[in-house]
Amino acid sequence: MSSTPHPDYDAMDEAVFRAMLRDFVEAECPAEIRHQPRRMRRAEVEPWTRKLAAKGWICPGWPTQFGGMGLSVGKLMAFQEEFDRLGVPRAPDMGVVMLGPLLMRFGSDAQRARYLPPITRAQEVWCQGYSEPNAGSDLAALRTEARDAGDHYVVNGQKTWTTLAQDADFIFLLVRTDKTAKKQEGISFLLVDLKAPGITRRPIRTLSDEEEFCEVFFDDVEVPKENLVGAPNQGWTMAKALLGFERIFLGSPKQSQGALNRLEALARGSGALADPGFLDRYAQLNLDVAHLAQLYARFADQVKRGEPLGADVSILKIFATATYQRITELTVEVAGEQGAILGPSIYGNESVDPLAMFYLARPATIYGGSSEIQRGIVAKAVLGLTDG
Amino acid sequence: MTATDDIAALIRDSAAAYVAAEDTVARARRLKTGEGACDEATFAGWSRLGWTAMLAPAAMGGGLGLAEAAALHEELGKGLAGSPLIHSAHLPILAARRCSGPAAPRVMAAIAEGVPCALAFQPAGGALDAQSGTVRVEEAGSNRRLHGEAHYVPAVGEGHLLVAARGESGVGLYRVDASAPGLRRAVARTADGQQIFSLMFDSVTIEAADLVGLPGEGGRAADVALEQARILQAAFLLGLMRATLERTLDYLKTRKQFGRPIGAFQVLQHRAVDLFVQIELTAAAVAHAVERAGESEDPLVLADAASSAKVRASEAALLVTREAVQMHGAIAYTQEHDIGLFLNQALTQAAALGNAAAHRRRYGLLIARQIAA
Repeated sequence: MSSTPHPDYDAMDEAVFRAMLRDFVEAECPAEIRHQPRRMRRAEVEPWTRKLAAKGWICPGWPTQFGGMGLSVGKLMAFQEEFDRLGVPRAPDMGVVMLGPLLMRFGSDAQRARYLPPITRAQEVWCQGYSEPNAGSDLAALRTEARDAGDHYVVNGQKTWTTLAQDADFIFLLVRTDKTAKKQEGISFLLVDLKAPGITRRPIRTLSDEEEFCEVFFDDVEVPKENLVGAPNQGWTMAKALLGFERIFLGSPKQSQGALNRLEALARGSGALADPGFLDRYAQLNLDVAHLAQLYARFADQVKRGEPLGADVSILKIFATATYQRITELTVEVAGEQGAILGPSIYGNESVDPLAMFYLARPATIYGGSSEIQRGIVAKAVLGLTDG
Repeated sequence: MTATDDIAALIRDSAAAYVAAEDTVARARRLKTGEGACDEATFAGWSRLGWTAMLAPAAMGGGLGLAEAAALHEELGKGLAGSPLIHSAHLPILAARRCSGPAAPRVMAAIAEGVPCALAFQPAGGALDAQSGTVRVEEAGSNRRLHGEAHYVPAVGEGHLLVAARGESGVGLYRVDASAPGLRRAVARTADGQQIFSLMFDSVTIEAADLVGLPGEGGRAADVALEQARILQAAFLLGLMRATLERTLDYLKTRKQFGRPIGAFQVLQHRAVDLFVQIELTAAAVAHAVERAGESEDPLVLADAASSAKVRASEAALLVTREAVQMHGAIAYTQEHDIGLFLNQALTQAAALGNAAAHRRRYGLLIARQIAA
């Protein structure tokens, strides 16, 4: 693959690097798609992702040999912080964040050559097929089956909560290939073209009235054997091995900071700051977000020093998501009757949509390992409380 | 590692050794059940270890900063030792070292040698700053006289008081003997058993040599010292809650009911995790406050840092100690069991120098002012 050679981004001074990102975003990323309170669809962000692709910035954390920016962890976090601060929309990124690193580590040369370059050019979009109707928190109970049929597999079953599957070209799947083994040991990792016959995608309308997820049905779908990643029945181990420092992003303060910023706009415009009862709760939420950010910085420093994260990083997600929800709850409450009206309202000269904020915050404590699952992890792995 | 980190690590080690060697939790029990006076022998011991002087200028045996003091108090908090060190040594020294009156060096030297000293500034009902006190200073020839009341003043035994008093040109700081004529005292006891005083000044004479902080200067110095002392309280509470959780986890792992350790029950596991979350938030908030307040004399920065740390530490320490009592069950409701001592000291330090509600109110007003600006 030939493209314009990059500068050595990782060797750049961090301030210069951040300024370069800022300048590019300010010049090229349209205001209409920035700081949006919802997940944007592929078509909405595509003009922007094409510009990113032309710069070679789709895959900041990938090594340069695979078409990435070659950033070390510290620089990658700076990249993420700048984009968050500037309200850059999240493009469909399952290929970038999940599949790419997995193929680099466990894929064949042929799989890397076929699938990585189109990801770096934002030409092929992937979605993640893990959860099933009866395998959510207990993911290893998944039952979608890939039957060995000689030179190919035949896949039958159903995935669900598949984020933006309707916008994707491919799906990577955890499938059961051995029903006799212990549940984690009979799972394989498959790459599937969503255009294959027998696949049906049905969007799910959420509480916030968006179609963010799909159900994906597989009815005798033929998948070539060459699309198996790694050895058969190694899917669970491979997927788990990839849970690295990215876990810190689930506990980032950015959602809470964004919501607090809207609550402030509402409070300023409505005069609520003069109410001592409101101010007390508002002050507490400001402190919660400040302390979350300070705790996040401690884990981020650990990552930047190259130290692995322990199970204690889960406390970030537990507190970040609870804080985020409480902010949106106070926003609805202080909005009064307007808190049950669909659509944005104008406070002062700012637009705030309390109900949209409230809905958007609901799944934060559910996805990416629910708060209950996270508490279970910390109780056992950090506090040493066992089910004995 | 910076030099500060190195020194802080050494201080932590010696504080941990002290807590173990002196069995300070047993001492906290004697304080609760006994007379409750500030123990002069204990204070003298802190002086010998160099702890009473650590925040004084280097020439007086100090030269250390807020970071080292916070490390010390976190360790001492684990053993319920040292809250009088904050109130009767570090707070008055932090104030006196910012003062240019003739008595300032004398006050600091006495504290360094192990004589306790208390800052008297609060009106009835409490207030967060030295500007709101009701003690007045009146000129009387070459001397001055103090009138009015100050509340929530810790015991100093035969030591002295640093009194914030308002005159025509602002709030100054004055050294007063605890046994000065015209000074009446009413005593109460805090939840952890310490004596705490209300002081009535009825024309108490002070001489020129007793001036610690000039009018204006003294009030400002006391306010900076109060903010920094609150951050040290937060560090103390952090250590206290770490030790409380550790003891509670030990109990959850050993106490059996229904045939298994009660820590195997998910409801207790999840609640224990919520305590751990609050403790780690406190640790981050204290570290951040130490960093900001250690380098600043700006009243707004100090107020922000101190209230932030004090709100989190107070709320978290009360949550952790209340939950510790609940998780221990009936045994925790007895005086015999140690976990109640942790609750008592958490209640005391959460309330002293402004509780969470008072600091949240001030923090809210700071934010509202920023938003309006």
